[in-house]
Amino acid sequence: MDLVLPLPTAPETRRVSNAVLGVAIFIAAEAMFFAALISAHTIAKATAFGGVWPPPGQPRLPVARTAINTAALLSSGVLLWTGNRWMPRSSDAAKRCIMWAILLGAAFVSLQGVEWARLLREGLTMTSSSHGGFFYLIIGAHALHVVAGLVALTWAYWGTLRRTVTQEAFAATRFFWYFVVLLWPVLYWRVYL
Amino acid sequence: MNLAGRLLIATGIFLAFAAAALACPACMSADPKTAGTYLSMTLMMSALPLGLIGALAYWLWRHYS
Repeated sequence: MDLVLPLPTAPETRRVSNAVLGVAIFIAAEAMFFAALISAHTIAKATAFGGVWPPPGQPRLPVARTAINTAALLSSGVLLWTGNRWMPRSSDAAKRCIMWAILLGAAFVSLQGVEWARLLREGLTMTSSSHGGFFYLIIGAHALHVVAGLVALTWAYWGTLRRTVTQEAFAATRFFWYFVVLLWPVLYWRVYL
Repeated sequence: MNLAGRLLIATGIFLAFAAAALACPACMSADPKTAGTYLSMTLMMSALPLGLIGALAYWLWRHYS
């Protein structure tokens, strides 16, 4: 099925849509939520006993493998942005880009799950140390956002194909996805490095 | 006692214990590196909401101007 453009729009295109404004406010609240977590983690790290972080006996986080995963998530954001830019000119290329963006997002969260399973086997749990607690809280909260973003993006994408979702709703889901993508390098830097 | 009197007593108590309220054992007795972390995180948590509100206001202003 070809993507038929232009997509349905809200009556007034000049105004900021409620969906986009709502997501912008939601993102601001989410940014504060993650800032609070990062702040608490940074202080716990700075005040760790003997200045050793992660605490002795705790497994090290998979920095290199997660760097590849980071590249996958960033690529997903770039592909979504590119797909949106190409929409008016080439619907097939745009569709492929958006599909790949969703697939890379799914690959990111799947690989995160694999890494979590490995870390749990190695003894890093929520209660094993403050390191484990912060890791699962911060990275888990982000993973939940990725899953929510993927569901929203897939819904909006199929909706645009069937012309049941407005451009504004699709823009709002894209906006949320960009937030999830851009937040990850910050979390990777603060938690993994 | 009227409201003004109560406020006066409350202010007096607040001022009398103000020095004790400043003595945060975690922040004040920390080594310079840890104290720097507290300071930087305090600045981040103070500046971020202002930045976010400012960015949202700027975006709306750009959109409508």
